[in-house]
Amino acid sequence: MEWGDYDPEGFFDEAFEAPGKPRASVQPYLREAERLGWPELTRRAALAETMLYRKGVTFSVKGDAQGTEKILPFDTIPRTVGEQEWATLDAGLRQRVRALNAFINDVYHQRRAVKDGIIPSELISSCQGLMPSLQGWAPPLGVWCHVTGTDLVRDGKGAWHVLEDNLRCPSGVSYVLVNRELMKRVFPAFFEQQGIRPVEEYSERLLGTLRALSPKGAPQVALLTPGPYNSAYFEHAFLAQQMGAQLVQASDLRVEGDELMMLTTRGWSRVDVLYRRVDDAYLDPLAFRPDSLVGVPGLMRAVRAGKLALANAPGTGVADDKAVYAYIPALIRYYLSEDPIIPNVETFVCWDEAQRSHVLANLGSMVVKAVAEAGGYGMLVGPHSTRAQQEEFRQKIIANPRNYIGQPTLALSRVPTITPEGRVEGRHVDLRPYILYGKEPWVLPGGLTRVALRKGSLVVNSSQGGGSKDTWVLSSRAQHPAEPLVAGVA
Amino acid sequence: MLRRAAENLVWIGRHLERAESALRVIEAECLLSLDHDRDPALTWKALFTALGDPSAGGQGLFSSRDRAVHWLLLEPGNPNSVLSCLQSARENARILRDLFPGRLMDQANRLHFILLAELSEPAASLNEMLEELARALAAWHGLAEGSLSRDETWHLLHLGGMLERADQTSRLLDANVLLINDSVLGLGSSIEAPWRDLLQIASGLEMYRRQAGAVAPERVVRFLMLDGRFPRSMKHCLAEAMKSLEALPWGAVGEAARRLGAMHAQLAYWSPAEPVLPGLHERLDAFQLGLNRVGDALGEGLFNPFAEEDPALMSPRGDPMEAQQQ
Repeated sequence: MEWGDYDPEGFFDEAFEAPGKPRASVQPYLREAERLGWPELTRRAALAETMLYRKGVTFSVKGDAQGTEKILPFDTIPRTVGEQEWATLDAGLRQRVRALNAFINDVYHQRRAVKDGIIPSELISSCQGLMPSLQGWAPPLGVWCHVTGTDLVRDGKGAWHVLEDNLRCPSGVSYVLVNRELMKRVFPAFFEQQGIRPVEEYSERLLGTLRALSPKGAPQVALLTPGPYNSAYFEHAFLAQQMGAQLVQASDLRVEGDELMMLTTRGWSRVDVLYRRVDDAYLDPLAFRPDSLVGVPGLMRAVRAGKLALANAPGTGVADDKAVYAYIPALIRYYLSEDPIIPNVETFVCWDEAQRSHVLANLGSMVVKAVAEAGGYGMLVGPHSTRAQQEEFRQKIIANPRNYIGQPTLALSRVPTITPEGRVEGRHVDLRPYILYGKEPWVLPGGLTRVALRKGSLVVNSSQGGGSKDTWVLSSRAQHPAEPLVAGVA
Repeated sequence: MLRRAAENLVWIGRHLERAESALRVIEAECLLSLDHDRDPALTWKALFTALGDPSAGGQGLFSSRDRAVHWLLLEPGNPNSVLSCLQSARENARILRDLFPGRLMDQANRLHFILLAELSEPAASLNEMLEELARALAAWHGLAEGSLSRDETWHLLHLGGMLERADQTSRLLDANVLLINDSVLGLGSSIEAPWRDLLQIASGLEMYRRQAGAVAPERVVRFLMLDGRFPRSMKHCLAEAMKSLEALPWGAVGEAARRLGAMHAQLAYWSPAEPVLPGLHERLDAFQLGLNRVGDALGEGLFNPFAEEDPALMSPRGDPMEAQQQ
């Protein structure tokens, strides 16, 4: 039997304590998996992959003239998070997002945290994501980051850490929703065996978060996409479809007076809330990039006039700069007077001379990251790098220390995964939960588990051999509430 | 509904209908050619002319059944091949997937994968593959019928489909006129044979029989042009297209509706005493020209993104992704 041979190989494995010794949280899954048998399990895994193609959950490969379509590989062995464990993460993520939002608001107003010596002034003013033109501006409800994707990892002992925050246009939530639908279709029995928290309310919650940004009773909500050739277009169209929102491109829009209008078959029609999935720099050429023709001229004027709500607000990039990240635990204490519930990964900011020396002396064992990059780009994984690559990063760090941070290489936790040969082996994972923030922060139970499918790899990004898994947050509550749906009706 | 989406929807409707029509032609012609001892090259030539590819003859496509079928079915270089039509329909549906129920999108993908499989490994039986495609197309229509609200999305799809179907029926009629003029009939064939074949290709033989009995040229043409109940007759298609136009914003489609209404009236008030066969080719030509003018009016009124704009406000707006890659 495949599972009997499974070996954690000395890593922290989320499913097995030791060879042949599964953790309690995965036992219901394993019982059902054994009942199905390995051949049936892998047959259904292949079926799930076919369904992804059928559903068109694909992206076209950049620069491929053939128009080849790819799917994000999906591994059908789920990643399980216990009920108590999730309660802690849920509280920690809500805490973090409240602090991040307070920080962004402070940056564009008094900068109390600078005056009180929590974070250096130069660090903020040198952030690529800072939008100086927003100084003094306040978004509706005082909320800047309506949708946040904060990446979590577990270290060699299983302890959870925040790896980074994504406060601009975090993507991937459509995979959470699609993966779950596939799992329910392909493995319905798993969901009958135990309580697994549902995820499908996300679209409804997102719509509620967006609608709350407008004073109107029935605001027109639109989702702004860079267009059908963007690799995340499926997600943009999917979320618009799920929310019943208009999917728009910049070419459908213009600003008339202080109002954002879209061109419909019945003429120009007002947009009240824009969930934008394009970067700040491509929103409004008049405000951010005078040399650019991309975007909607005057869009920021509509935002400032209070006639258009943007989610996320512009300028949030200042808080997901990886050097600023190092200060977030201190900022949580400062703004909320609470201890951080989920710690950061130990981080060395190269901008600081002493910390830089430490990074330069340990390039072979550390992970070095560019502060404003995402997607696994601009990164050195020390233990997996060559001398030449380390030398290249040494030069880069010395030339522009503000642009780099170093972190110890974590032995990321692993989860059993089906290999291309049809065996089961441990692979490293991370977790991106999604936090919505309208009136109060709300965390989607679970999130996107990304898995590094290449043996031994620590890089989970889809552009570099990553795939995804369904994330199960267990619940001891019955799946169906016992109380009647309508109060007073038995 | 975004103005940009309106044009894509009409094209989805058109391309699906065009693919279905080509499928019908291939399926019927492959069967019919087994029965008659007529010159297959001339038959294909007439059909290619009708389907808008008269130039294809230069490539020697009429000489063999396999090459002709490949050109109509799978040739990417032929913009009207089933493959080309279904690929554009699917791409437009992908762009507009926010407007469709998930299952409808799944079905558009399924059509694509049937063809993809045929391209990489041709099925042993052409007829089985055609049957599978025809069923998948029918399923698309069934899903759309049962799950789309009758809002602008539905009416634009329907409009595209009906305009295309009217065009296809008129082209098939025209092909038959050509065939007869070229006298390609073999010795064993009767004068009625090509007209019966035409009804087969138009999936109308059974309905015709119930209504008009024996096959006679004049009656066949009347049936395909003027019958108010047969869903592929030119008059019926125009009436359906009119209904959809009336559900769309009049300011944008008024001119198209006026042009289409005039064409419909001509068919609707055709005198029973007036024969339809004399001058048929010229009449069909004028009909196709009229449909083009309806399409032009739609382009002017409904699709043109600058229709209402002050020219001073026009500015080139690029695709952000393109600019990002620069």
